[in-house]
Amino acid sequence: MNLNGEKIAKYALMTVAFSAVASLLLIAVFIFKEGLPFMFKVGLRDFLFASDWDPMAGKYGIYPMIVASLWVTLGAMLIGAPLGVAGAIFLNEFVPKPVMRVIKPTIELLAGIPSVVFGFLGVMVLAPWIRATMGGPGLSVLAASVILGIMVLPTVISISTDAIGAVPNSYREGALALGATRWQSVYMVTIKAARSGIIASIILAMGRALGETMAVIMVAGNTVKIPHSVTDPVRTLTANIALEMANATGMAREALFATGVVLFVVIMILNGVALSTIKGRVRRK
Amino acid sequence: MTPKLPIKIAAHDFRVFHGQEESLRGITLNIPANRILGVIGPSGSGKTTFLRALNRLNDLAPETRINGQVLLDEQDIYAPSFNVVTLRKRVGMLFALPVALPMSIFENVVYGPRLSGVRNRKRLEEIVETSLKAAFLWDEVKDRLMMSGLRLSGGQQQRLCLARVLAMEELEVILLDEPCSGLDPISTAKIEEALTILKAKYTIILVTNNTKQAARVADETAFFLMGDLVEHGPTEKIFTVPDDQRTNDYVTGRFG
Repeated sequence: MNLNGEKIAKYALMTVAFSAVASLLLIAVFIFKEGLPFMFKVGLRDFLFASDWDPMAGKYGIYPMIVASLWVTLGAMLIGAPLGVAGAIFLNEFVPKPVMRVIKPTIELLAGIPSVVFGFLGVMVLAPWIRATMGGPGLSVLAASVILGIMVLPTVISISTDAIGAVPNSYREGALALGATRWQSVYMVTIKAARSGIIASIILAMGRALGETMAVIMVAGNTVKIPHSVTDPVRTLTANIALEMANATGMAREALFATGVVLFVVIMILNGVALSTIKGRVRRK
Repeated sequence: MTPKLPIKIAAHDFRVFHGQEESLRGITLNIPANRILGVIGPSGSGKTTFLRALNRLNDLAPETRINGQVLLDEQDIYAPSFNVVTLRKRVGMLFALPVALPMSIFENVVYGPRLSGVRNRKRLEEIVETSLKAAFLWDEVKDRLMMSGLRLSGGQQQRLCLARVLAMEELEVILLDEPCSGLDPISTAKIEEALTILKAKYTIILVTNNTKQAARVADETAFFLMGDLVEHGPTEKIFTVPDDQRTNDYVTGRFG
């Protein structure tokens, strides 16, 4: 009886686990199946590096969207990474432990705020402010970068905090015992030792910024155009899929799947790099 | 007997509390300059707490309080006007587990001088060579100074840490917290040999669980027990005719 129970539990768990993995795998296969043939039909050059997106006229160049995604992601990192890393250092090194035990979960809760709320804030507060102070339509690369920069903060802070917290106390004491000030021990020893974890947090945040859709649609302006300044409106790859899917059929539908393939590959590469950075740290120890 | 030497460090009724617990119960101890003081006692006796108090590493634990005085060259190191960073440059510390910092051998050694603002490459190279020689490590690493310090063996890392302490130009006192507890006999012998040479220049305080090590290298020995200083005197007296029965029991291996 007992043995049977064990067996049942084991196989039940196995089934559940496999079906989770299998569904992920199937999604990936499906996206590639739908998207890849299209890429070869249109030609990689006309798909990835052409600037005209007009599915009605049979033009499927997503170059402006690739550029837009990169700009917005880069902008989000310029804002989110320094803030997040600085926050993680502050929490670990300068805040008393009991306070940190309150603040860190609070920051992680930020990750639970729906992206539509961030987007709404961007539309109502940030975009009008940009329009008033810097010109342009307000809905822009800058607005999207700022909103995404704030949205990735929990990722950066939480993973960086763990990496910094994992630095052995003996390193800190070693540096302090040699007459380092608190700050000298932080930037000469702690950050160096936690470097790979901090980098991994930034790369994961990058993946998150690149994949974010709802908030970006709301604040980026969605014009298919290569941006020339941070106040220009843009349409990212994710926004493109979400905006066009309602009335896409035939080739246009395949084009959106192909856009998905591009996103999928880029994010896989980013996550792969992040994982190997983290693993690299473990191996060195 | 040895001639009277100037007092380098003097503790007066010095107490350390960790939360409610009194870890050091009124230590009064004069430590002469240019001598090796061996500090022995079973674990939990307060040896390490005492050592860490001498360069104020205990400050880092928020629940630690102190009472009484520690004087370095007749100045109270716990006085508000005393600069703790300067203190730690004058009073260097070597830990039980070698802490090579995650950087090259060269950078490990010049860490202290760099903090003090030494930039001149030539000067830094001189410091590295003299410090590594004084720590008996130079011959083993002179061809690979740019290799990560973490890749050295434990014994080599400990000598690297010693070199790093010696590289500090303001250094006057060296604190060693069971520096050889994880080391092989050859590395231990090298560190002990380095210490007996270094005492000409520095005051050395050696906390050790190995009473034989204290007997080998210390000029004076202090015996701690349960947060009390039981006895302090010339090493040969502590190990042959101690005044206190408990000291006798400990050094003859009857407990501890």
